[in-house]
Amino acid sequence: MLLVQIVGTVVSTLKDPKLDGLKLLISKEIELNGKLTDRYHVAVDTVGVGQGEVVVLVRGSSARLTEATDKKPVDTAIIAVVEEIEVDGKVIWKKT
Amino acid sequence: MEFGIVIGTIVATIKDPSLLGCLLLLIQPITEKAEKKGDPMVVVDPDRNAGTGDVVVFVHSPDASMALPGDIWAPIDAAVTAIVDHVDLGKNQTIKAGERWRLAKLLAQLPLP
Repeated sequence: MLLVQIVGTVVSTLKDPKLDGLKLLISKEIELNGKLTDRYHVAVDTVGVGQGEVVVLVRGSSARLTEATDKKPVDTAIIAVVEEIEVDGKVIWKKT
Repeated sequence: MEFGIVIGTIVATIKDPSLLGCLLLLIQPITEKAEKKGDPMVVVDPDRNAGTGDVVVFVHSPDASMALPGDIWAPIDAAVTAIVDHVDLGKNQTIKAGERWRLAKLLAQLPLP
C-alpha cells in the first residue's frame, strides 16, 4: 500500500453503471518529508476522506475487496485515513 | 514475497472494517543483501509482532489478505508473514536480527523531515 495525499476530485457523468455512487479522487504519492511527488492515482474513496488528507491507497485486485468496490471495475482504492506517521520512534507527520 | 525493514508505524482510526485490530507498518523494501529497494510502503501486520528495526518477509500481492486471521478478504496488497532471524547466502550471512545500524543506514537514504 502507498501513502498518498488527496489533491482533487473527479466529476464524471458518463461512466460504467457499476461506478454510480462511488467517489473518485485524485491523489499524489508523498515522500516521508511530506513533499508531493509527480506520481498520481485516481482512486475510489471507500472510507470518506476530504481534500488534503493523507490516506493509505491500495492497488490491484485488492482494491475490489472492500464492501463499496466488490465486483466493480476498480483497481485503486483508499482504505484508511492517516492520523500520524512515526519513523524510528519519532512522529514525523501528524494530522492537523 | 520480499524482504523489508520496519522503519515506523502509521496511526489510522478510520479504516476498512476488515483491518480493525491490525497494525499498519511503514517498511522500506530491501534486497537479500539488505540494500534499499524502491520507496517506503505501508504493510499490514496482522499479528502485531513486528517493531521498528525488524527485518521482515512480506507478501506483496492480493494474497496478502490470507495473512489475516479468519476466512475474510481484506483490501490489502501487502502483509507481514515472517520476522527474519537471519539470512544465509552460502557462506555469507547477510542479514541478522537486531542490526540497528542497518536501520540507521536506510533512514539516512530517505527524505525525512
